[in-house]
Amino acid sequence: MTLRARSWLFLAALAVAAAILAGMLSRGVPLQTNVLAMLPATERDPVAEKVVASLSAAIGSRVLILFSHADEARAKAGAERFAAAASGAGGLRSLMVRLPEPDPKLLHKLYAASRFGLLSEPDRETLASGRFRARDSALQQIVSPVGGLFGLPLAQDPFGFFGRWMASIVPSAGAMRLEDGYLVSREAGRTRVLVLGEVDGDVYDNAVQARAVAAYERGAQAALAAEPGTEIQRTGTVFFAASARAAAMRDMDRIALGSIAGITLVMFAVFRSLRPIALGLLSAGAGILAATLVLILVDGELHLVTLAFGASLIGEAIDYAILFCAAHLAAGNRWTPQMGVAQVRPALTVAVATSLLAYALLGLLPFPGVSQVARFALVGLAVAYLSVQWLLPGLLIQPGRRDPALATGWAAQMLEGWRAALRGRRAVLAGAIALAVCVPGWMALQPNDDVRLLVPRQPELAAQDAAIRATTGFDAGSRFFLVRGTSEEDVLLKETNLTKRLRELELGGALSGHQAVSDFVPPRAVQEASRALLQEHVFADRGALTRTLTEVGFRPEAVRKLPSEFERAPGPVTVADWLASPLSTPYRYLWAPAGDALPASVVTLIGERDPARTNLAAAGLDGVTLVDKATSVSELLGKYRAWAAPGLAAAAAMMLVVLVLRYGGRAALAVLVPVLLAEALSLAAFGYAGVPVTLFGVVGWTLGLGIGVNYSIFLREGIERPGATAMAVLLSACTTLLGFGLLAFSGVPALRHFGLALATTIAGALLFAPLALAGKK
Amino acid sequence: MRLGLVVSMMVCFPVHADELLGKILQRLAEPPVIRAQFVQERLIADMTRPTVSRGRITVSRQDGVLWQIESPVKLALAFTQNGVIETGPDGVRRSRGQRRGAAEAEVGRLMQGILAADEKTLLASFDASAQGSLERWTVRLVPRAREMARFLKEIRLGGGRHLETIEIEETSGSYTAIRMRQFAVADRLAADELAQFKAP
Repeated sequence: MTLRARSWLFLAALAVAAAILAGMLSRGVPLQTNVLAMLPATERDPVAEKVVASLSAAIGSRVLILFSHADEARAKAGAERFAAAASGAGGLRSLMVRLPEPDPKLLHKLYAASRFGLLSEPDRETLASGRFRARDSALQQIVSPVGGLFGLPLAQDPFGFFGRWMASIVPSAGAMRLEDGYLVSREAGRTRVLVLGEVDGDVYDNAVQARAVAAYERGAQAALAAEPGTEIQRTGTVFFAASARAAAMRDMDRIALGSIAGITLVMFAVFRSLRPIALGLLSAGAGILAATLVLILVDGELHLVTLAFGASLIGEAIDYAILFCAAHLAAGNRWTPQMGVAQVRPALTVAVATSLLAYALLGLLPFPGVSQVARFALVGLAVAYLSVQWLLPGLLIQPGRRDPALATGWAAQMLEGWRAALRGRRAVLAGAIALAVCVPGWMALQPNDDVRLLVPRQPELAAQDAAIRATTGFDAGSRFFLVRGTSEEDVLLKETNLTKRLRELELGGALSGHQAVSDFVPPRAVQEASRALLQEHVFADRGALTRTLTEVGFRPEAVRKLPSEFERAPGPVTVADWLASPLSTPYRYLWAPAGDALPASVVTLIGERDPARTNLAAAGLDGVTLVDKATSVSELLGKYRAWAAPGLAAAAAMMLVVLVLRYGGRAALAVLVPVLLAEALSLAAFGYAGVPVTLFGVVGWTLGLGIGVNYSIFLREGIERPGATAMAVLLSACTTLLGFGLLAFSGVPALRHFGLALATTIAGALLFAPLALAGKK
Repeated sequence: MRLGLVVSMMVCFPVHADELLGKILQRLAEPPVIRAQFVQERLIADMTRPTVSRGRITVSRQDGVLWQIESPVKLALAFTQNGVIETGPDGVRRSRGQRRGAAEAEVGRLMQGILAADEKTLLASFDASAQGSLERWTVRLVPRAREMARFLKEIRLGGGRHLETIEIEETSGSYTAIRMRQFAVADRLAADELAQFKAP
């Protein structure tokens, strides 16, 4: 096959791949923005993992929007205008400005008949201790100016037992009060009105996100136009996810544009021709195209971090083409493509082998996201490597017209000068000093495994979120208790053990509240015990009860009716009764979160002020576990980060094996020394600059090891053509710095740490690269 | 008929009515602490006769309202911004409405709003209309929010220098009338009174 035919075949294959990809993209980019999807399962327990997923779906779809205005009527009107405009736009559903009036009949329907089994904890204690006095208790209800104001008429609840139990299950609304269906709070001369809503669809679906954000914006504009001076604050997973996506997109644009512009400029300055740039981009593009296609086909979706990383892959993939074009420039009129390929193949092969080895190591990490990044790099680099051998030769057949000595002589001189400076005892001394200077930097290194590194939280959104949380007491629900038992009754009983402790925390102020099914449906055993207490202390002596109620003034019919209602009362309220009532709708996710087959429930927390004490609440309780996704993730990040040092050592050892096979022991060490020095300096720089050591920085150092060693390899393999080789190494480092290095300016802390680690390592590897020539003439 | 009268009065003299209400509330709110004796008559649906209770009431602008019933049963209720603290005949203290936003806390706030004449709380929760003169007035409070309107029909206040009568009409048909007399003004609460407002 001729060179040209092979090139055309390669191009045709690329065109087919591009067509397939375009077809898939036209149906929407399957771009995953849920950063947590990058992470492996944190819970060893699959039930807990499933519950985390279903709960974050239930809570994650919520949006809360707070309208604040000095004039109460205008705050409410603004909220109404918002809901009207936003509902019309689609994207947000069940927007509620005024909560539907809770029908008191629903409460009575569910509970009134079974009320003799429903006692509040203090009442149970009073009855059990024998301190209950029927006459005093009835009189208290009658003479208190607020006795019997809620709940049932006094004749049906003359001692107020049921009223007090009902008051104990009223959900907390934080600092907000329900007025006319509006959730309102007044503070510092302003009235705040809360609007609740849900995202229509999967919060992490980009089309859903776009619709939800558009609906919000339309509503907010309408509200501001109608009621100027309204302050609008919003929170909800969808807003954070959308802003993270926008930031990643901006990053990608900026980094991709910056890379391409920078690389083009540098290449043009050196080659004085656009052809090498075109070839470089073609080769890198082939790699990115293939990697994107393969990963979408295999994984079904691309993570946005992979995409941002892919944009910077241009930096490394283009190195291979540069080496080839530099050979072309140096060969002058003696050039044939076959000769060029033969010249660069050994260096390229060693370089690709070491890089792929480093990436394969990353691919073994059980982080779905990191592994996707690594596989993206594996496919991309492999295809770029093949393109240099099969695609580029057919496109670069004509020899160059420039004088090779003039075009590459400067690079050869530069290399010679730098090599001279790094030779002998002076180099050893400089290295020793550099390492000594590193020590305080290493000592200052601080790890950070906070999961928030992954999620760039726009400060303005985070502030609004904090403000809304402070006002409403609503929580994101990333921490909750999972309660499991052998049966419904067992789960409810175990829940009550927990809620007893939580109530103590609530009294002490460490917690503002909790939500638990057993508050709405006490365990059967508790209901039966309550009924037994009433039987013993209230209804046992019918004569005395009748006398007391008559004496305090109740009508005879009412007095007769009470004991007969007690006798005819149906059995305890069950979870099924509760689930069948519309009252349970807002709390339904609390029950059977892992499906009906598994008896389990969730207890959520509201307004945690002292997480350390909440952590202790489950201690020693059978079947109760605290699930804390954020902490689990952080612990996991920390665990992998802790593996970093041995991991890096293992990667270096594997490279050394490849290098020893090629160069023998001493020379292999010389090839590895520059990048190892670079890593040492980069680590120290992190320490001095106070940048924390994160898993993502570690990933950067690992990649830096793979790329940095390439420069040593290129030099060692190509020292017979010093001009072309030095130029290729310089250009490679420049393009990589422009590609990956720009990630150091990313808005995502994780990407930033990655970029910083890589850029500093690359810069160091370039500076020390001539050390790899030790022992060579 | 009466409602029509009130509405027409409000339409005719809105400024005057608002001014009167403001002045009444301002005057009521002047003393930091005020104590009085009270007699309450409460007629509850399903009961044959009204129940009369007597006791002492202490209103502190700062801390809340202390409602101490002496007969026919001993019961003390401390209404604060955060809820109601109850001390029963056995001396056992119980906090109700600890959970913020709960109905009991709402009642605590309202009672303090009414008895301590806290204009902000009152006007946020009720449509208020005043009649009469600053020396002899009545104020009618109709709940604004439907949550409260479900159990409360209206509250009527009457008095002169002090708040002397409170009438509460509930939607259940229950009716409460409270009369206060022997007013004494003070600068601050006594220590034992203050202790009643502390959470148990």
